[in-house]
Formats: sequence, structure tokens, C-alpha cells
Amino acid sequence: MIYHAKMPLQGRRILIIEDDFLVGQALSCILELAGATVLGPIGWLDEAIAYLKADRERIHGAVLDVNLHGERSYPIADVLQRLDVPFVFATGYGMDSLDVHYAQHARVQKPVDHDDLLAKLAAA
Amino acid sequence: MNARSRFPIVGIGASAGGVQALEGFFQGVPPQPGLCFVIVTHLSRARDSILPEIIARFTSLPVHTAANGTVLEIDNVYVLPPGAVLTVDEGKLQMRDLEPVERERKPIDVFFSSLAADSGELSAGVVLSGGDSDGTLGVKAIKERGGLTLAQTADDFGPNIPEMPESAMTIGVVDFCVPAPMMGEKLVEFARSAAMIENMAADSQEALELARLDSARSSIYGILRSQIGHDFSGYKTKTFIRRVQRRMQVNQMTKADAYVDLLIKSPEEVAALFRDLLINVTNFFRDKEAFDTLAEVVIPALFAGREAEDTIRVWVPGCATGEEVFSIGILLREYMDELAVHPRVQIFATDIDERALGVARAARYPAQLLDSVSVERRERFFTMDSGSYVVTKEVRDLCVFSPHSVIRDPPFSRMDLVSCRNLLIYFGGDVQNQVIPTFHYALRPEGFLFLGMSENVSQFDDLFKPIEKKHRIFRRRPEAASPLRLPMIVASIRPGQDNILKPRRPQMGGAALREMVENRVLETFSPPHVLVNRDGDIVYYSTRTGKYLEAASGVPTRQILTMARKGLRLDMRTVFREAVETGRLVTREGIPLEDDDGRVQIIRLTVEPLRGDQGAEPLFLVLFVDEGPSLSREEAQLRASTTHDGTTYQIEQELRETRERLQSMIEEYETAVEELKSSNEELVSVNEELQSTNEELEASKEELVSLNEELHTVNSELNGKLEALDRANSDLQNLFDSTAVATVFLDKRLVIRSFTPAMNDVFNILPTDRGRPITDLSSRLELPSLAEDIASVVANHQTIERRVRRSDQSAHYLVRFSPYRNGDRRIEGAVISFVNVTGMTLAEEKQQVLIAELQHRTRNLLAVVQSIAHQTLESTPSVDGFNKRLGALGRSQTLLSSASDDQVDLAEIVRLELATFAGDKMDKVSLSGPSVSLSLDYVQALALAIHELSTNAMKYGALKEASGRLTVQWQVDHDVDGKPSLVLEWHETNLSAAPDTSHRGYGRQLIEEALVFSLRAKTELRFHQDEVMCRIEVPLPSMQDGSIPRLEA
Repeated sequence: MIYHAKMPLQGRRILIIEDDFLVGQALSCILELAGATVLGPIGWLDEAIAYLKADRERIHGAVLDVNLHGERSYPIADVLQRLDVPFVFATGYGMDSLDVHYAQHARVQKPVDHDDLLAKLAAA
Repeated sequence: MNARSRFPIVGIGASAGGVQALEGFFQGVPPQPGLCFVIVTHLSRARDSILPEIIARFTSLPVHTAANGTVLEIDNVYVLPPGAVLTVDEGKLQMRDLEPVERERKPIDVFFSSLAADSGELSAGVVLSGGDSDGTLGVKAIKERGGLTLAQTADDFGPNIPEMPESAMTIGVVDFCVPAPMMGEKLVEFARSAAMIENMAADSQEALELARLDSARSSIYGILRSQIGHDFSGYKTKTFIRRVQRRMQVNQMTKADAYVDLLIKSPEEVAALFRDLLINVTNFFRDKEAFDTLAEVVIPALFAGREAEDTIRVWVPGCATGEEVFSIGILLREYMDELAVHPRVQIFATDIDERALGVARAARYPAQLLDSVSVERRERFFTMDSGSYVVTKEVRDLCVFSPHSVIRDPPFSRMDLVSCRNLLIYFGGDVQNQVIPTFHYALRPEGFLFLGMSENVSQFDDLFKPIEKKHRIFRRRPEAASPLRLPMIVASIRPGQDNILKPRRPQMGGAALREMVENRVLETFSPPHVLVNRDGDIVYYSTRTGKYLEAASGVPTRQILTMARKGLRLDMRTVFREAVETGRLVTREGIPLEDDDGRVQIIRLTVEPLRGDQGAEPLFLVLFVDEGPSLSREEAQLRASTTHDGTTYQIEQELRETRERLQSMIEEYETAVEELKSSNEELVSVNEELQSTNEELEASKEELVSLNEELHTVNSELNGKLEALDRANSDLQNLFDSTAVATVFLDKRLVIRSFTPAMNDVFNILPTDRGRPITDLSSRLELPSLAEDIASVVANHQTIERRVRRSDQSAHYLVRFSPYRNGDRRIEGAVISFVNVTGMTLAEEKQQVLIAELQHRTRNLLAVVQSIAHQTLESTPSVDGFNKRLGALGRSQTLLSSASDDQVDLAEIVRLELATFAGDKMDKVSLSGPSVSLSLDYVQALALAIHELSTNAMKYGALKEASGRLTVQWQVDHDVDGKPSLVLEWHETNLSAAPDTSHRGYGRQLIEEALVFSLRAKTELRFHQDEVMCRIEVPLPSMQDGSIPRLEA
């Protein structure tokens, strides 16, 4: 199923960090359709940090679930920020429930509006 | 002051009986007296209205009813109309109407004080008949400003009610105490001399006299300095001359030289002049600096180290009208206000003068006397009551006023402070020498003595040491053993003896010796004698009187006529009576006295009246003088006959004497009869009185009986009420003790009245903290605005509510500040209640968390649905598969939402999922495994996996075929590190055909990938000839909550 004629993320490497397999699958699908090369999905905090710490090819963007198996994913956000990787929070909580330190980052609410997510990733 | 008001204004105060007194007063006022009169009365509204007409009948001067703004003019009379208060300002009357219910209790004081302030030395105050003590403070104010003061004494015109003038007189500030008609003359003289001083050059004669007075001034200074020890040369000349002139006027002298002579001759006049010069002695905070020093130095020392149960005792002897007492009371009260806990304070204020005490007890002063009281103190310690200032109860209650003489009565004791300002100046040196040791006796060791500016205790350096010499503050020397002069005081108190207070003269050698010798000679050689009073009662015996007197039979008596020996009795009676009646010395010679041995002694009897002090009872000295040696009876008869040459003469002599005696006896008898008659009359009338008294008593008794009955009834009623009150009180106490609502009752100054025991959770509070300000206590709550909140509640009468936390965050309170209303609904403080709302607050917080969690789950669920939809519909566009998966999701949600603690048992998941598909084929299925609680993540992922396995078994496996069997079993294993993991085995057997393994659908993906991804599980899916085997191993979170898997029953 093709949602977008254009491919706004053509050639970009996007990392998905999402603890739910199904949701991760769905996100991968959407991003691939938008032309991106999907990295992950990764479902665990320690794995994600290990993945990012390993020196690898540049990552152009990331979708970051706020809650990973009951833990907040802020440490990952810190690493991403340090690596200068733009990212978008995906959260099941209210839009205002993010910690104030991360309030400046883009975020989307679950269930994800695909266009909204793509627009925010493209803009990042 | 301008020329207009350069004439004296006379204020006249009268009350009950005043009309008669005013008539007398105006009789003595000549036409054109050169004065202006203002009459202030107490008479009631109804009766007062015609007073001007009445007065107009007494005098030729024009009489006006006073009105507001009336300009006073010379030789006119003004009368205060009823229902108003009058003052004078710049020679103009100021009148204020009173409300009908209002009543000025001291209108005379109010007017006199304002007159004194306005006209000063040109003011005069006249106090006529009246009750109460109004006018007393007024004349004092006038006297202080140098005006003339007069009070009425008895004559034809009253005073009918003498209390008012007597009260004025007793405080010692009245210049003339004269009958009403004589006042006019004094006032005219006053006006004349006032005019003389004002217009010095007007009359050469008077100017000359004034010049003489001026020159006499220095000699008067000298006299005062030498006799009193006080130097007045620094005084204002004009004031000094005026006071001297006032004394001259009182002494009816016109020449200054004559007055100087009088001063030299009469120490009393010097003392009187001295007192007049110092007259302005009692004012509030007179000598402000001295009182300031007292407040700074002495009062803190008094309070130092005193507990609440101690008492500070202050004695103010000679308190007069109380200004000094209340000044000290105000200072003490001010200091007490600064202390959280203060000892009790008692000020004993004493004076000889009951009337002055009456003024002090009323504690009501005209505004002018409060000149030296600061505005703050006036507002704090006085209440304004229609023109007068009344001392507030909190100061008044510190003071105890009682009549007492510092000279005559035994002193008070254990005092911390004795304040005796300007009393010693009224005493001579000898009395001072007695009084100052009395103060020493009255004070505790280290107690303080506070004297007036012109007084000192320098001659008693051994008793007192100066603390503030300038302000006359002394401290009792603790080491000085009191030379206890108290017994001397008591011993010297003999009735009827005024001059008891002679300085104690040490007995010098020569004089003492001489006195001793004289005593001895008198004892030995003087004739025996006794001293009797006019009734014949002996008050003193000399030695050797036994020969002439003997104890009479019967009740012991001192009556000389009864005690005289037989032969002497008649002569004694005659001689004594004659002496009493004539008041002269009477002697009788040749009285034969027969002694026990039958010998005869001729004696001479002398009775001599002794002139004692004026007014004292006269005493008579009775002397017995022997004439020659004692004789035998014969010798005596012989002597008698030889002496008088013949018996006839002797008998005639005896007869004559006997007649005389008879005559006097008759006279005595008649007198006695008269006396008896009058006594009888008196007795009759007394009897009548007793009779009527008896009747009255009978009636009273009946009344008392009925009153008693009534009291019994009232008493039992009161008892009932008391019981009800007790019950209510104990109910309240129980409520307090049992309630969990911490409540504290405060007064306006934040002082704790009472509190419930639950307060202990909120404040560090003890039962002994009652009476302390709550702000002194440390709170366990974060309540920084406590004081402001309470103040706001008291001020605005509005309840305030606040949510606060305990400092250790362990509890939350709802604090409610409400105003405390007394029985009259007046705000008297605040009630603060603390409701523990910890449970509510925590529930609220938990609710917030739950709402957020719910939102999270819902959104995640929707994301999962979105994802399933995406995946399912993309691969096989059949809604059926999608719906079934949604069904599985829904079931897992059902399990979750019905679970109590977000934990779902694995068996339930498996059973529910299989039951949905297998339905009636459950007999093919066997389930076994322990109870394992799983959380949300696990439930959802495992439920979907089992759903996929079940669907598969339904479509292609064990549940499809009749022979197929399905075994699901699971257990919890632990690896080498002790980490638990769930191992679930799905085993389908007895399949007739090998399952198709080529198709790797979404279902298989869910089993093989989703579990691995989401739960880090290991999955193994194997297909054999006749069986399907699926093994899922899921690491479980470490069991920290103790939910060790239970074996299924």
C-alpha cells in the first residue's frame, strides 16, 4: 500500500526505537515506503544505547518511543542529542507529559499519524 | 493672652445644696468686684433650668446662661446650662452638649482644669456644697498653675453636703477654707493683688510695696535655705513672688517685712510656704526623666528572675489622688506586655486621707492632668469618657488603695519598690528620721526607693545607697542590719498624744546622772502621792501610799474614794470634789488618821489639778503629808484639846465641818438624783429604741427567712445549672480528647487558650503551653504565613482555608482559620483546625497517575491495532483475520482490566484463548503448569502468540482432526545466575498428516519474531510427521515482589 507518491525520506537512515514489535513493524513499513533506510527497530534501552555507542555510519534521524518496557527512554535521547541525530518522540502519554528538559523536541502521539510523523522527520 | 482677658476668672463648683451656698457666696461679693464668675453645677436637667434667675436674685451683677463661644466679661456671672460640659479657651467659653443618656460625672474638674490651663495665675476655683469629690482635681490644677483656691466651711449657708469641699481641703491645696459669704472679700483682694502685679506702675503705693517684696525675696531665699535646705533662687521670680504674696494674703499681711518676720518666728509658716512653692507635685509622669530612669533601671531589675507565681510588690505611701500610682502602674504594665510570662504585680497605694483615696479609686482624671502623658499611653491606658480620662482596668487592677499612715501605722513589708515622691517634704526632720528607716524596714534586701526631686536620704547612707542620684533612686543596702526602729514606733503610739514623734535624744552623761539623782530624791523624800482623773480613778501611785490607802472589799477598783482609809474617806471626798469643781489647789490640814495599831497620825491632804495639754483630760495630784510623828490616842486627844483650847471650840469646829460635809453630801446627792433622772430618761428612750429595733429585727428575720427560702431555690437551680455545665464541659473535654481534628483556640495576641490533643501531630505543644503565643512553638507544618493568616482572620472575620504539607512530607493537612467569637459575637481571637487529608491527597495523586497510565495504554493499544490492521490487511485483505486478532487483543485486555494488580495468570490466558477456539473440543486439550503472574507486556505478546498457535491448530492441526491431541505445559526455570524464565511447550500430536510448513504467515512471524523482539524470548517451532512442537522460553523479571510461582492445585 503506497501512502505517498513522494518519498520525503529518500536516502535517509532512520533508527526506530520502539518496544512493541507490531508498532515497530508498522513504523518500519511506513518509513520504508517514504524512502528511508530503516535501522532497528530496537526495543530495549540498553540495546539502543549499545547500538548508538558503536561507531557506525551516520544516522539521519530517529523515532523514539518514550516508554521502553516501563522505562523512560531519555538516556537514549541524551545520546542522540550528543551525536547530533535529530529525532522525534512517539508517546502514548499526553503531549504535555514529557519531562521539561526534553520539551523542545518534536513529538508525535500514538497511534501515529503517518503524515505528521513523516513531516516532522523530514523537517528534522 | 491678650488684654481682653486680663482679669481673674472665678470658677464656682456646686452640687447638692448648692443654691443655698451660692446665695451665701454672692452676699459677700460687692458690686464691681473686678472678677468674672462661671458657675458649674451638678444639678439635674429638670431642676437646673431656672438657676440663672435664682442667682440673679442674689446679686446685682448681670447673670447669663453660658453658651458656646460666649466671651467672658468682667463683673458678669455665667451659669452652665443643664446637660452640657463647659471648658474655657482664650477667654471664651466652649460648650459641648451631652447626649441625653450621657452624664459627665466630673464637670467641675473638667472646667477648673481648663480654666487653670487658660488663665493660669488669674484663675480661682471655689468649691461649695456638694457630694462626691468633684472639684478636687480641679482645684489642684488651679493651684498648680498658681491660681487661688477656696472651699466652703460651715456657716448659715451650709454646706449642707460637705463632702465636696472637704475632699478638696484634705488634699491640702485649698488656700482659704472659709464660709461662703466671706469668699467674696478674699476674691476681691485676689483680684486687686493680681492687678497689682500685672500693672506694676499703676499705683505708686503698691509698686513700692512690690519693690519691698522684691527686696525681701533674697532674705526669704535665705530662710528657706537654712530651715528646709532647699534653694529657690533658681525659681522664676514672678512665680515666687506670687506664691509669697499668696501666703501673705492668707496670713492677712500687706507688708513684706512683716511676713519675713513671721517666717523667722514661725517654722510652720516656712513649711507652708515651702509646700506652696512645690505644690505642683503630683502629675502623671511628673519629672519625666526620673520616671524614664525608673523604667530603664529599676523595673527590669524588679522583673529579673521572677517566675509567674512570684509577686512584685510596690508600695506608694502618701499616694494622694493616685497619679504617681498609675504612672508606676503604667510603666509596670508596659514592661509586662513585653514578657510572655510575667509575675503578678501588686501596687499598694496608701494615704491617710480617705477622700483622696476615693478620687484615686475612681481613677478618673480631667484631660489637663494628662498633659505629660504621651498620646500612645493615653490611647493604650486610658479610655475617654465624656470629657474625662479613665484609667483602664488592666492598670487599675494592679493597684490596691487603702487608708494607712506611714507615721502612725505599722509599715508594709517585703516590698520590691517603695515610691514616695514629695511626701517627705511635708515632714519635719524628726519625722523624716523615723519614716526613712521605716522604708528600710518595708523593703526587701536590694529593694528600691524612689523619692521626689527635692528629697534625699543622705543622712541614712548606712541604709540606702544611691543608684541614680540625680533622679533620687536608691537601693536598700542588704548588709545593713535594720536598726529595727519599728518597736519604737509602736511604743510611741499613745492615745491622745500628738507630739509623740520627738527625735530620740541620746542620753548624755551629765543630764542622765542628774535625772537619776532627781528620781532617787523624789522617791525617797517626796510625800506619798497618787494621780487621779476627774472621776477619782487612780492612774499613778507613788511609793509608800499603803498607809493612806487600802484595797477595798469587792471587785478590784482604782477609785480613790473607795480606797482611802476609813478616817480619811470623808475629807478626801470633800477636798477632791472642791478641787474638781474649782480647778484650784485645795488643802486640808490636821486630819487624824488612825492606823492599825490604834495610833493616830495627823496628816495634811492636798489635791492639786494638773494642767495637761489642751483638750486632754485633766488630772489631779493627791498628796499625803504627815504632820509630826504618830501619836497614841490619848496624846492625840490631848493635842487636839490643847491646840484648840477647850472642847466647845473643838466641837463647834467639828460641827461646822460636819455641816459643810453634809452640805456637800446633799449637793452631791441632788446631782446624783438629777443624773439618775436623766439616765432614766435615756434608758427609757433606749428601751423604746430597743423595742422598735426588736420589731424591726422580727420583720427582718421574717424577710431573711423568706429570702433564705428564695436563696435555697436559686441555689438548687444554680446547682442544676452547674451540673449541666459540668456535663457539657466534660462532653466537650471528651470531644476534645477523642477528635482527630487538631484544633487550637487563640486570643487576639496569638496566645493559646486551649487545644485538642491531636494538636501534638501538628505542633510541638504541651499542656503547659497554654498562655504562650503560638508563634513561639515550632510547627511540624510548612506554615510560614501563620501569623499573617491569623491577623487577617481577626481583622476581616473571614474564614481562610489552606492546604499544607508536614515538613517531613509525611502528611497533608487542610488548615482552616476561623474567627473566635465570644458570647456577644465579638471577635476575640481565632480557631485553627487542622484536618489530616493525607489519604485524600495521595488518592488524588494516584488518580492522576492512573489517568496518565490509562491514556498510555489506550494509545499504545490503538497503535497496536493500527499495526495489526496494517499488517493483516496488507497480506490478506480479509477482515476476518483482523477481527480475530482484535478479539484476542480484546480478551487479553479483559483479563488485564479484571486483574487486581495488573498481573494475569498465564493459565488463564492459555485457557481463555483455547476455549474461544476449541469450544467443545476442550477434551482434546490438556493444560498443566504452575501459576505464573505476568504483566501487561507479557500478557499482550503471549496472548497474541497463543492466539496464533490456536488458530493454526484449529485450521491445520490438533484441533481440526478427530484424533489430534494438544498438550500445553509450562514451568519456571532458573539459569545459573538464578534468573527465572518461563518455558512454555505447545505440543500437538496424533496428527494424521504432516502440517504444511511452507507458509510463513503473519502468525508465524508473531511467534518467531515478535516474542523475540518484545520479550527477548527464544522460540522454536518444529513440524514433524504427525506432530507440531512449539517451545517458547521467556526470561521473566526477577521476583522481587515475592510472587514465586505457585503450583497449581
